[in-house]
Amino acid sequence: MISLRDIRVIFGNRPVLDTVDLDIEERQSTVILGRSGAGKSVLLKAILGLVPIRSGVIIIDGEDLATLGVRQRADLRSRISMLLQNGGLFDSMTVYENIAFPLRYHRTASGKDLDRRVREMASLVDLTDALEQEPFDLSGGMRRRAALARCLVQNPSYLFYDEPTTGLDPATSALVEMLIHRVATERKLTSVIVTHDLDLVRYLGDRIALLDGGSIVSCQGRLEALAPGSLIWESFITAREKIHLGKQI
Amino acid sequence: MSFSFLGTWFQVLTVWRDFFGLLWFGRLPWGETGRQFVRIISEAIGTIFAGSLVQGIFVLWLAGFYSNQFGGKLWIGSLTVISVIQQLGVLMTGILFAGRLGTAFTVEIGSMQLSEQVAALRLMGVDPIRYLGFPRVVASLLAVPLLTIFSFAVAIFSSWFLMALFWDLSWPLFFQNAFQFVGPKTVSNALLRSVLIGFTVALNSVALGLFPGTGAEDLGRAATRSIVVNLFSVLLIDLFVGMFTTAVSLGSPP
Repeated sequence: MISLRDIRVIFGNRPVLDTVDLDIEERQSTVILGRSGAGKSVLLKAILGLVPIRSGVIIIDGEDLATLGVRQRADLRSRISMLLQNGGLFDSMTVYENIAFPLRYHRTASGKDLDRRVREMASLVDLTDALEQEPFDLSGGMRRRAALARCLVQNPSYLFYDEPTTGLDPATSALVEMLIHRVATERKLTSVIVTHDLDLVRYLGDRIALLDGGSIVSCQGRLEALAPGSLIWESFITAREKIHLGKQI
Repeated sequence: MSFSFLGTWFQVLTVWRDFFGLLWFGRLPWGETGRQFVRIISEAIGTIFAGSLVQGIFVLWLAGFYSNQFGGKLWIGSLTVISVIQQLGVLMTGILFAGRLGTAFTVEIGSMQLSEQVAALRLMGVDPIRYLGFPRVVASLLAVPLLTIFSFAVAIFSSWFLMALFWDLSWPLFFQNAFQFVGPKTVSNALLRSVLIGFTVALNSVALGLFPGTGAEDLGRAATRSIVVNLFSVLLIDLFVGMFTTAVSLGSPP
């Protein structure tokens, strides 16, 4: 379980996150909703130490990160993997080399074992035929699937997704959604998904949190969160319909 | 001078600090260092060859022109060799290395930063300074002295070869006095400067690449900053180390 208490992140003089409190339950999919620029990605990166926090407490599996040394903190964070918005694939390597990279670098596998694990992951994300291709030759959806395979080969307990369907066509988005669902169920992962894609929220979210004004203003189960009249319903679904209606008039 | 400019310098200094910090623990990527070494040599050698060739011709022409006026043609060889080894070879190699490879390091790592490849490294528990910085810096530290020696050879041989053509002199005459003023100290001084230049240029370039700003325009600025900073670094290292070693060894043989 990951608990966040009073997390503050400031860029220059601008507070991006202001007293964020959130509990990420184990083996559930928590979706963090929010408008563009609300600080959703920043929140994930703050948990992972990619963005420094000004104040607050991050507790991962019962351990307060602030009380740990650099090495222990890195070990704890190694339980978390993240699918970046652009995938973050190394463009000088093939898909195979990208998936194999963490295993090779940390020497957690080599030879036949490494090959088996890479091919297993490629098969899971349906990229067996693209292993020798370079990221430049892949479509957006394939790139994300390759990046997902690289995340999964590290055997994480938590998997964060930063807008996994942004920029994809509806059919590819649906494929990525199904893949995220399958991976979470089969591997018993705790997923945190940052998005403003409502289909993704409906399909994957066990718990749905709304980030607004730098704070989590609502965090509920899917049924309550998406019930007419709820804060999330009013902020997202009704607001969108109102805008569409206004355009028609 | 804006605060963001100072901020960038602060960030560059933190990379220097972290670089020395990482040497004390953990595994270092020697395989990648070897790959970078081969890459640096193969990418820089053509540029260094062309630059040194022109440098050799230029120095020969200059040495010949003035020696001719005073009837001192015999000294063309020594003038050319001392100019190249004492000063111009190191400077030329440093400047060409900074322009050819230093800027490439900054843009390469900068674009990796912008396309989230550096973030991906961090997420996999890989320190980008260790994985991207160390191999480039150590490979440069070893490659620049070798490139400098190559530059000496090209400049001296191009001068020697063209001497007969320019100044109507026999080839053996060039080497008759060529190395009279060059001793182990002159060569080691030049190589020391080239080691420092390779190290500083590579580490500055890596550091500036790790903080490229937020977009293509910022990356362009980082590349410009890289070349300006590195050219000044080359000139300052050449000046101060040259002055220091000359002062220390004053009065002793070359």
